[in-house]
Amino acid sequence: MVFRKAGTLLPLERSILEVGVRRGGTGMHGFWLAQQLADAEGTTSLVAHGTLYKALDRMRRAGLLEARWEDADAAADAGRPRRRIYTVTAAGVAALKATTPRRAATRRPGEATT
Amino acid sequence: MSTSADRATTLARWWVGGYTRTAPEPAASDRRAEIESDLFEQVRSTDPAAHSTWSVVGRTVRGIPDDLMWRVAVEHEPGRLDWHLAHPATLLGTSLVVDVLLGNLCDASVHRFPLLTPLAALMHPSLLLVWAFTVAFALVAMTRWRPHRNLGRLTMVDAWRRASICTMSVAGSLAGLWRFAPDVWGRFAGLAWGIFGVAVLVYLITWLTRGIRSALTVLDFGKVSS
Repeated sequence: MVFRKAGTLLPLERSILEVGVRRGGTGMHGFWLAQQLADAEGTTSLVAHGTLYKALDRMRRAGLLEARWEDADAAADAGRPRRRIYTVTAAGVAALKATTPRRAATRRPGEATT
Repeated sequence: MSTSADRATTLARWWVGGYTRTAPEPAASDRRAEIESDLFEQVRSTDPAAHSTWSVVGRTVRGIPDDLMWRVAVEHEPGRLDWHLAHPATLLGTSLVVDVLLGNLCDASVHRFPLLTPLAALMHPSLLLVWAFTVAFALVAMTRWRPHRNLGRLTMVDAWRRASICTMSVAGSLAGLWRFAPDVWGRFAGLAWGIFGVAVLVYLITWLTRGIRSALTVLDFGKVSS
């Protein structure tokens, strides 16, 4: 349950969308995503299970992400449990784009844009 | 996988199993499967920082507030109140845990830890609310009691275990509420604590019975029905 203005993204949600957009259609699974988020922040501490999966669940319900379970046979062949694969939807890309200009506008004058 | 990493994943699984227990499907099984996959990947990760025992424990512990909030959020789905009224053990068991934690904090704030004293004004009314909610919820659940629906396919041991949890919760709350009217109702508090004690005993017996059944199943290679 998050009380916030509609159309805004939490920092974690923004980071997930950024990683997901970079990843493209291949999709991402929970542990890989936790590693990417830690790398992006330059820390070795992985995001907590509860925090990560609650955010993913919330974003899926909001239509920003799409989730599908990996094929059971493929997972069995690889000798591991099934992964849940998340991909960013068009609404997720739009939400990320919609919040990006606000960040650029708050940038200080003279600060380099990348 | 090292023994300590094995224990850490067991702890994580135990916690996930606990907070997803009796949660609506498929959300509960999806969450369990996702964490299972995550734990599998983490303990086999080539990154030494990621697969350390403390990393697994830390991820579990730091996520507890969000896990609890997730559980509260999924309980907002339509029909959940009716489900809880038909299966009151989950909510009454949770209120018992909250009751014990909050009750001990209240006692500590008065007698042992002066640091908690400023919070006493908040904790005591909260405890009173938990007691009142427990009794009210149990009363409403009793009016809707239908054995064929409430017991379903439960084994006799599970039915007694759940009944003992409900009794402990309600008896504990009644004993607590009677603190506020010692002259009129004080003597009933003793009766409530007596019932609480009997319920604890029944719970322990069901717990032992389940343990013995599990042990027999293992020894007999699954031939004994559970």
